Amino acid sequence: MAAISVNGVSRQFGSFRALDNVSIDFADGGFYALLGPSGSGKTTLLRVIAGFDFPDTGTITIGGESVESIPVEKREVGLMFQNYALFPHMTVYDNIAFALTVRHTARAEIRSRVHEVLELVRLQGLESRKPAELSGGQKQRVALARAIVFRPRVLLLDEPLSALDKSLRLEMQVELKRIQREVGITTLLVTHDQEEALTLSDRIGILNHGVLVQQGAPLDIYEHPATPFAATFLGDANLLSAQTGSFLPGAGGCSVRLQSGSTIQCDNPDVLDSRDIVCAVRPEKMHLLRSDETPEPGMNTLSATVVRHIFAGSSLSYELAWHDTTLRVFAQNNGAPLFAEGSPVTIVWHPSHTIVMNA
Amino acid sequence: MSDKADIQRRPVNRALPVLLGPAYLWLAVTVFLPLSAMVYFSFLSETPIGGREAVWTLSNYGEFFDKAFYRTLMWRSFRLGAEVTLLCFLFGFPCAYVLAKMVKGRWREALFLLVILPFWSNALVRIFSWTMVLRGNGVLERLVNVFLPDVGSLNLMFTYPAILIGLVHSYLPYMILTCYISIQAIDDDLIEAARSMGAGRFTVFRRILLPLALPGIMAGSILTFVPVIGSFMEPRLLGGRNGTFIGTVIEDQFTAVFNWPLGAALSFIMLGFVLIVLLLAAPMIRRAST
Repeated sequence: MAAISVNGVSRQFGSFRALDNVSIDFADGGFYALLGPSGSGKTTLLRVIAGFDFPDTGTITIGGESVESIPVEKREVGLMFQNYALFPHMTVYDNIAFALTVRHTARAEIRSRVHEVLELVRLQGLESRKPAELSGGQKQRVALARAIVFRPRVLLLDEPLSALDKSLRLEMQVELKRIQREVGITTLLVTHDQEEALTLSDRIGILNHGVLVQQGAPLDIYEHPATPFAATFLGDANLLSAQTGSFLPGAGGCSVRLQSGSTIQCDNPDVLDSRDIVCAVRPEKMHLLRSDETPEPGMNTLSATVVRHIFAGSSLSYELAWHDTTLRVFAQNNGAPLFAEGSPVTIVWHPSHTIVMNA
Repeated sequence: MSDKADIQRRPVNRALPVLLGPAYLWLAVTVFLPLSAMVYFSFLSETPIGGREAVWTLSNYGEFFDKAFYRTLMWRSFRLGAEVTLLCFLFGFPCAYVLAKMVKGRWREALFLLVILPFWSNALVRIFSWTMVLRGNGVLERLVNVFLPDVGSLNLMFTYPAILIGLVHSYLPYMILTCYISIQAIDDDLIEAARSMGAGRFTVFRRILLPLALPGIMAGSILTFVPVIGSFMEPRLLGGRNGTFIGTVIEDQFTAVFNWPLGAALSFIMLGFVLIVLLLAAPMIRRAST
């Protein structure tokens, strides 16, 4: 068990900059998610931490020990692959025991460790099966058991659940979280699935074009994204471009004039060093009123037209035309009548839900 | 219900003889008939050509067991087969690994072309060209003397090593191609997974690559071992007086001594020994194919 510290790591492949001066710390025992679209560098970062690849510049320490020149086989890291990567010619037992036999662990010790970890992943009785005789979820559990049986210092997961169907994936998320808690191992998860990142991790790092865009607790990043990319990649967001220099700080809050001409209110943001501002509002933070209803005083309002509604059972989402932009608003299916397509509505939200970011 | 199943099945059943027929007919005519003729010859006392009287006999088979000479030759041939197969594996497997896992695109195509280039020329021509290379004051000897003038004459021509060189050259491509196919099918993630669990290069080779590539290694070994045992061209041309093996003796019976019955009997005894070896290797072959 160990903390990981990545300092100023860059990695270049030909003319492609996969990682650009990335610095991020993972505290001991935490569950972290590296989130980003494909090509964002998240897998490269994982491979550099694992020791399959080496940084051009920068340092990596695991448990305080500098590891950037140590190859993967000496780094004591547990890895779980997207396609499980179970050895097809070995039984479940031999797959799990592999790391221990490589270390010349005594046979009795191997047996007790394998059984201990099989119990942890709830696969007792399947020791003598071959991987081809297992279901997807069982393979997943073997892969996890195999990655932790030798008590590595950190556990690295590369899109581990993406090959499973949805219900199994949710079940495995719960299992993964439980096992990670029980073992207490520092865990790093690479994923492009924002829901998975939000559900599993204590902290999230968002990468884009090889740059660490933002890191923080899931709730913090969700409520206070630092860039438009973070706002749209983690969750849905309606982006509202502001007029240059129209940002006016005040005593109780501030106002922004949008490019459409409307002025909206927001809470004073923490940092702003640019005159170019983009505002974002989460679709679930907005609600709709009929155009003849009067909103509560102090709320932000925009007049828009319903383009269509998408019914999804417990909830529904509206697509709205506002000037030349399409906005989305989520609503609970609470029995209120739907807004018909083409009908004029007022979008209402609280000023504190306006996210103000540098463009 | 049963009618429906019949309708769906019938086209497949009809297609089978059409699809299999030509191949099996061809094999029957070209393999089974000549082989039956050879079985027949092997029990005759004389070559039944030119009106000579032949009677049934087992003496051709008896001769092999009577004379130590044939047993020595058989042993020599099997040793040659084993050594050539081992050398082909030692040279071929690393080459196949590099082709399958380490080079990509154009480079792989170019290296592949070099591997199969020898197939484009006639085997006899290739072996004769080896005599140019290996003979005293030949290409190889001059080349070595350029860099190491003290070595002097290599005396490779008409030796056992010359036969090994020629045979390894002939059969190496088969080993490379069969190993390449099975190594290529091994997922890179398996190797990375093994490394992440602490396995060094040799452990990855011994516990992951080797067992998973076994089908290709076995196929390549059989494709090499079996024909090398019966080979006569390379031993004769490159081995000279040292080139006497069971294959050359069998060839002599047909082309020089004109004792077809003995040649046929020796062929079947060789076939028997090959089958025994394959039978002994069967557990490994079976493990490789599962």
